Amino acid sequence: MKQPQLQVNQLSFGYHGEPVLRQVSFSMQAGELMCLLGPNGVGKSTLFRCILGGNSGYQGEILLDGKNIRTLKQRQLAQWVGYIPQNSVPVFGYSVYDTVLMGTTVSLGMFRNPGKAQQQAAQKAIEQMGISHLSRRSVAQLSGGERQLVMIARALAQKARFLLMDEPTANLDYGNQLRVMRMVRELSRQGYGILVSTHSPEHALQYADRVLVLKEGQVLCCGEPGKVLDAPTLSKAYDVGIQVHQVQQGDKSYRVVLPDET
Amino acid sequence: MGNKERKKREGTVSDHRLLLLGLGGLFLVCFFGSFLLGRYAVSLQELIDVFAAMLGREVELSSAVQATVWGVRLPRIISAAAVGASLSMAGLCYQGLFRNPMVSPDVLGASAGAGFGAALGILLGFSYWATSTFAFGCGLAAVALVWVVASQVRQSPIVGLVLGGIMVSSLFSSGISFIKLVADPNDTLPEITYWLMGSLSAIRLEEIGAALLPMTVGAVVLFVLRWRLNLLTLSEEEAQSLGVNTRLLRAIVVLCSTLMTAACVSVSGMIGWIGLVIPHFVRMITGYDYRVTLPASLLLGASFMILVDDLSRTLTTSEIPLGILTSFVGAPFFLYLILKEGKRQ
Repeated sequence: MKQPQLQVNQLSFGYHGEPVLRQVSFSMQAGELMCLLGPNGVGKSTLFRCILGGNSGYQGEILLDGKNIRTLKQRQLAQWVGYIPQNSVPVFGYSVYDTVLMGTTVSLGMFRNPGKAQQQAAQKAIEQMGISHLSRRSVAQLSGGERQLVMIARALAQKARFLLMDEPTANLDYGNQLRVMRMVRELSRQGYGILVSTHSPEHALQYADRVLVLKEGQVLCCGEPGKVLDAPTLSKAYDVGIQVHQVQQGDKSYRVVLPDET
Repeated sequence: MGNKERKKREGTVSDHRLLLLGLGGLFLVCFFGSFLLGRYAVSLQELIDVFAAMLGREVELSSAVQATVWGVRLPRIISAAAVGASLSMAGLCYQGLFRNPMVSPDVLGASAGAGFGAALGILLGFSYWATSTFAFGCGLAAVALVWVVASQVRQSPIVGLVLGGIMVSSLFSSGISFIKLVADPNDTLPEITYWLMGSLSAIRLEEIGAALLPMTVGAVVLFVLRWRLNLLTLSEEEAQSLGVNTRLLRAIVVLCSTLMTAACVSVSGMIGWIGLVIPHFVRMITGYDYRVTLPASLLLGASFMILVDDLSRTLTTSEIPLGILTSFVGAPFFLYLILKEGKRQ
């Protein structure tokens, strides 16, 4: 069966005439985990905003399952694409349950309140993320890792096939970073197409099916991390010396990233 | 599935049904109890008789009692309830919209605009009716001006609204100061000052009837949108990604809250604090879900305002302006809430 596709063709965008994204093209499928790498300010969040419909003044086109997203209403777009924002403490301390329930809004008309179906969807998403015990707690009081799981649960309740995650591992301790990335990969195996921006090439090497590297608003490379993430590419992407080594563990080989101080 | 389990699944609304019922009871007690308070004594029996007579029973009643209940107290109680409910609801919605619990209903200049309109109306010798209408119009115009300014700020619509609100409020406030400066200090100036401090003493049933229309329209629309108001508290990108047309929703909320605030100021003058304190208190006892906080703010705001108005007309022989009382009661209460919240964390 053919999986739905997210396709970005020749996307260019600028703020006040200052170009941020230049001729960015890539595509990904549902069921695929793609990592987005690139230095600070390279336009990762801008790219997300374009796909989410928040930046309409771009050139080029973004297609979802063959449909140009310009022709979709905000609500129709939200039925396709979910967004998991960077970790931040909300101003208002909604409970975990209420927060996840907000994800179901996409299935409601303007004047409707969530009903049985929405409540069940929220409950299911909470159980899926294994955070039922937090259901009544305020999101503002959770740890960063827990809050990230709540945000993912909200996106699951939204039932969108594609998820955009803005640095889900930022500000998390090492254990939580791995836990969140494992969860993300597990979700992609369940059929979600996930685009994750991250600052760790290791995450891309370890978990991603494909990687997209941006440099100065352009695509530096796109492909399988084991093939395209080598020392010259990473050094060029971040403008520092970086070594990539092969480590043999049993019959599997891993790539590890080290700083090149020579 | 056990009963407890089901309750958990239904979320916050059913948990708070009892609380809302309680607040409804409180409101009814305040509403009917206030008929008994005031300079002219009305006993409980007389009050019951008045309502019985309205329902077609044959009872003996003095016309003074009837005039007091229908002509004096009813308009005041209704307007106090309407003003308290409207300001509380508008404050609650603005606080979500601006993602800031410290915002009050006058953030976009509706109060300053309406105050300016009223001051100008009094200066030009308009009738009460014309003054109110003019005040209402100026309140709407002030917010429309803010909206136009904000639409020029590209990056963040919220920042644009805040800055525009500060600018327009300050503009109209200096307009009020100027009018006070040129007003006749013997009669016009005291009238303007008294009006600005907020009072319901001059209100009649026809006038509150006209103001009830925009208040009701605003309240009904906000109530219908109560679930979506929750999503407005998220960041712009988050709300959009959840399928909310944030521009449209924000415009509707601003319009409704403005209608309600301007209508309040145009009948009662400037009454501060209520739009700040009541939503704060409500969130403390019920949490954040607008499906609960909106009706709770309506009921509690109405009850609180009725009580403050009772104080205003019973404490001393001459009436104390409402704005003074709400600050007097509201500010310390607010401080108490903040201290209590601080302790809890």
